[in-house]
Amino acid sequence: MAPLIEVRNLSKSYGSHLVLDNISFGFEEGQIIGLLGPNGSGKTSLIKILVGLINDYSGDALIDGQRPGPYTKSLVAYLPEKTYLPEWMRPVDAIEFFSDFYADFDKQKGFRMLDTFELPRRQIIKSMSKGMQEKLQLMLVMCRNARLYILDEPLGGVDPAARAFILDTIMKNHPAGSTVLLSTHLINDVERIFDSVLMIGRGHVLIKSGVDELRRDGRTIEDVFKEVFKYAWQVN
Amino acid sequence: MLGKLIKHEFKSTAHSMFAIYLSALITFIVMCLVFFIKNKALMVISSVALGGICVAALVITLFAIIGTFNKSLYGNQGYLSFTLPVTGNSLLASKTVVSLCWVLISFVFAIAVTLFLIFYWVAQTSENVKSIVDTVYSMLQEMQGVPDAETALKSIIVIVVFMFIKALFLIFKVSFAITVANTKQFQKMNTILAAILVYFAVYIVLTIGNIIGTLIPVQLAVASNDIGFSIGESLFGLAQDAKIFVSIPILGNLFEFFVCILLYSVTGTIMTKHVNIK
Repeated sequence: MAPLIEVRNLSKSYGSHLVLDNISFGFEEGQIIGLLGPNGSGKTSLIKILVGLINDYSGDALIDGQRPGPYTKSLVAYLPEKTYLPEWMRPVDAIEFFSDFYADFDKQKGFRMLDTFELPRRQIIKSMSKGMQEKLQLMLVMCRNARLYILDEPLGGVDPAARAFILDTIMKNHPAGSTVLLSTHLINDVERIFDSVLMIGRGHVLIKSGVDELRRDGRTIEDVFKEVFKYAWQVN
Repeated sequence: MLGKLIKHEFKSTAHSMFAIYLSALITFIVMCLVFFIKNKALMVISSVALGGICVAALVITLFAIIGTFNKSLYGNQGYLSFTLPVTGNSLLASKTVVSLCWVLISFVFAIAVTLFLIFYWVAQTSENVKSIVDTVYSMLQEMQGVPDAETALKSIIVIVVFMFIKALFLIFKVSFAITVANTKQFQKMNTILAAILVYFAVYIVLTIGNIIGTLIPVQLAVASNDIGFSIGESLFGLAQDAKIFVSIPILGNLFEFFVCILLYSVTGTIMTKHVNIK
């Protein structure tokens, strides 16, 4: 089976700082993948390359065998760290927008989820709190019946109750057989949902493994994470 | 997809333009009312207000164009725009089409406001607009080579095409400058400052090109019964003894047209291959 996500000899640098150093890996379809690493390890850069927001890199980043472009973007539902909706929009406008551009967007589900999330349909985004905006973005992404969900730090900067809500929304709404690539450094909350993990740091892939293999000797993913990334907090 | 992009681009920009044109409409209605009640102070105030709104419309249009590229492509909204299943060229084309529409609307609005203010005050002072129009028309008829209706229409079409090119030229210069300012070469500089520097660099280079173009004496010649070309003293497409009403330099416009094509394709390439969304 050909991998849905395939990265070959991928390198990306910012000036003299090499963030991704000739990394290669692949993941088949139908898994929930944890993209793990400390802050500044290159998770967001890797994601931005996969979704087509970073273009100056060397190597290949392929989704369903193709470089980022209109085809791969039609397969990927992407949730960035940032709030990206125009301030003048209202949730109804955002639903209309997503419905126009993504053939896999479920408009009825969108309206249902607005009510479930208690988001006012006609309140402009500018007047919404950051939390409401993040809820709206999550809802829009999860209303797509995408093949691949790429979620960049969806749990960052929120309280434990909100984290549980976000995880619940992701788990309940991603279609069976779809793939979820979720980046985070809050492993404790999410390790139970992962099928595979990819740990990156210092520009390299440090671990790419199924979670069952990692847990074989009774360790948790968090234990492995602490061990692999202890260098990040060592004082020389 | 281009149609959908244009639709949403219009929605996105219309709300900032809506207020200015609504205020112009309200001012226009007020002006009509105070004209009939003959309140001169209010007429002056409302005329100045309409003139101010006209200037504001031009300025806001320019800011809307800057915003449509800088904010919605290279700001946080870029995370949405660049992950849509469309090509980079479609994104650029949709923004160009909508920006062009707003520029042309603001041009037409400025012309309409100017004409309206002239007639408004002429009507106030002489109360006989028709006689002034007749006087201007008879003055025109006494001039050499006044074009007939068909030629005048052709001339207006040519002028509209030139306006179109000028508007495109402005949009492409702005979009190019903002796109270049967002490349990694300018990462350490403030984006707006970088865009201004790039814009003026491009402006200087293109102005030099345009001046060189105008030195070559190829002009569009509007005569009494047709339009042709003049190169120096020779006429092409017209009788050699045709009386020329007006000559319009065209090489500058042609130069701008080709630069438009160049800037569009270069901007598209830089946008899709060299810009990283921050």
